[in-house]
Amino acid sequence: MKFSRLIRANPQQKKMNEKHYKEKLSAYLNHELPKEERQLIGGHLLQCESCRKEHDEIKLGAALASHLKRADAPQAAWNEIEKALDGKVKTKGSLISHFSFFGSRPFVATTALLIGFGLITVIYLGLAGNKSQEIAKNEPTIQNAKVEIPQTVSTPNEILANQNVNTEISPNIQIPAQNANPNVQILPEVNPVQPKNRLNEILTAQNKLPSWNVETIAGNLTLAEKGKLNVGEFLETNSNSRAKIQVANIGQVEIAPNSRVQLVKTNSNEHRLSLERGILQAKILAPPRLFIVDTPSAVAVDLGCEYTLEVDAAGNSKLHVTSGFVALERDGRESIVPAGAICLTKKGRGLGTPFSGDSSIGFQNALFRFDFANGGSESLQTIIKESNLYDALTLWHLLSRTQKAERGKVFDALAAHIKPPANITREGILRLNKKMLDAWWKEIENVWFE
Amino acid sequence: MTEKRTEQDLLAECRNGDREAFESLYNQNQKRVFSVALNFFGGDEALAKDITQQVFLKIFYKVGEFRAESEFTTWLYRMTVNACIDEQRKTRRFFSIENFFGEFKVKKTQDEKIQQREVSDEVQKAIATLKPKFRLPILLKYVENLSYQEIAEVLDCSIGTISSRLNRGHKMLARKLEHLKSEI
Repeated sequence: MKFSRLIRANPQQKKMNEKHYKEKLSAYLNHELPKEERQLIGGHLLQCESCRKEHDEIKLGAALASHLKRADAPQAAWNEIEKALDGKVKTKGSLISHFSFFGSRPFVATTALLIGFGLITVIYLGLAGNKSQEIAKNEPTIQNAKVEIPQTVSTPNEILANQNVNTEISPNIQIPAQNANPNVQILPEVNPVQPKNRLNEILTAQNKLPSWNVETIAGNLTLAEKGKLNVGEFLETNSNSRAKIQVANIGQVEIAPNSRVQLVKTNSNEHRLSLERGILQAKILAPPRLFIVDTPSAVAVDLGCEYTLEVDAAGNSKLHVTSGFVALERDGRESIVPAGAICLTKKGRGLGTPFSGDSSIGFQNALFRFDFANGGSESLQTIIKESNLYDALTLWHLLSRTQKAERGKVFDALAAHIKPPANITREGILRLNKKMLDAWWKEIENVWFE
Repeated sequence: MTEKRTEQDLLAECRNGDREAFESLYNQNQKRVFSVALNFFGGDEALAKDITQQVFLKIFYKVGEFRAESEFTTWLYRMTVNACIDEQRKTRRFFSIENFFGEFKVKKTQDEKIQQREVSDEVQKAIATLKPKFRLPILLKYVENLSYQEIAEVLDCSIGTISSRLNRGHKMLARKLEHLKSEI
């Protein structure tokens, strides 16, 4: 994963790799190389401890993979295939005559045209219907409010296109006090959104609390208003239900069964959910720190990413980031969790240290003891001993989570995996010089995502 | 060579809508599809069965499109791989935090657990946690015994890429299952 790319990214290490054949070791083990090259690598392995170590690791992986088994499909698989075929084909031996047209280009083209035409018609009719209802519903209010509508806004289609986004209000909206409708509820949180959204914002704000759209994926959901999650409202799924929440206009959150979330806040500066228990998967495309999820043991701050966040019955949480970054925060402490990494929190024990999803079980256990079970120096020793290139992320975080005597050991371990940039000194890092820590992190971050 | 002719004959008969030929083609190849899918989904037999059905139904309807420019098995594996990836996208499973914290809690008795569970089960589960780009070359290599060249054709990438992904896949697997070192 990411850190093996580091080897390729760093010119010095690249040079080392070319010299060492590490990239060819699986091909060597699987007899995929020409005889001469095999002999060359075999000879090199006798002399090079570093390559031998890597060879042994790959060999272990290959030996483990050899335990995978083949199996026959159950008889039911064929029975169901036959049923499916019988359902579509009446007479044996006439399959082609029945199906050749369906696979033909004229059929595909005709179908595509029909579907396209149908979709356009449905969209047009649907929009036209909604448009007239929505405009009729809001017309008097608009007249009372006498809002100055910019020229750029205001085609009905634009209004409708923005309808599902949210109910944030732009600070730029001018409503003359003498003409303002007293029923118009201007929400305290204001929104510097594009001018073209203004009319929509006013229309929705006049009638509703801020809310997010909710789609039921499975089972039933109980919400005050069907398909909407209002600020302050809880959404709870049972063992059979799942839901997808549209997070304003910045992304989506899928809620797994047996979960409970609350929409805490939504405005231009912050969209905030609280996950009391269960699992959510977030996919957010927005500037950093706009989407936040509270859990009983930490706060997950989106830095532009996709992730899964789980909270168990005891309030412990597990964050697994699959794209971008998430910051987990608690009591002034922060863990930066990049894609491919995991971070745990334990209620009452605070924030864990992030680790690569590919780190060894021994490493993960030692880190768990260090973070949550008073593992102290003994655990730290194991962490350092077990660490490899993949664990630079963890070691960097541990620099500021260890005492000075132990920090030196962490520094050495990290430096062995990723050489500190030229402007970084050991003393500076031991003093937790922020600039130096940031510079080293940048190095880690660059190679992690390269 | 005989087998290949037979396969070509079967394919020709399938193109003419012969159900018996299709059944023979299924019998000859079902293990390939089911085994890849089974190991792709960490031993989930129901999902593997679904994938097998999907793939063979697709073959039935699309056999006319198979041009024999590549091996039939390459086409078959490619369809299997695509079906697995599509299915994973659709079902994108949630994983349980209880298992994760539980994993730490049971570490002391892990030796007992290892004895109880087959090594192959553990490997299967660990493989299923790898990203598909690392998982698939391992499955095609160690379950189906394909060469790097054949894997590259199925996955439509270079041999170098396959070699590199296998390198990394092996290491990930070794790290995840290093506690089984003495068992193998």
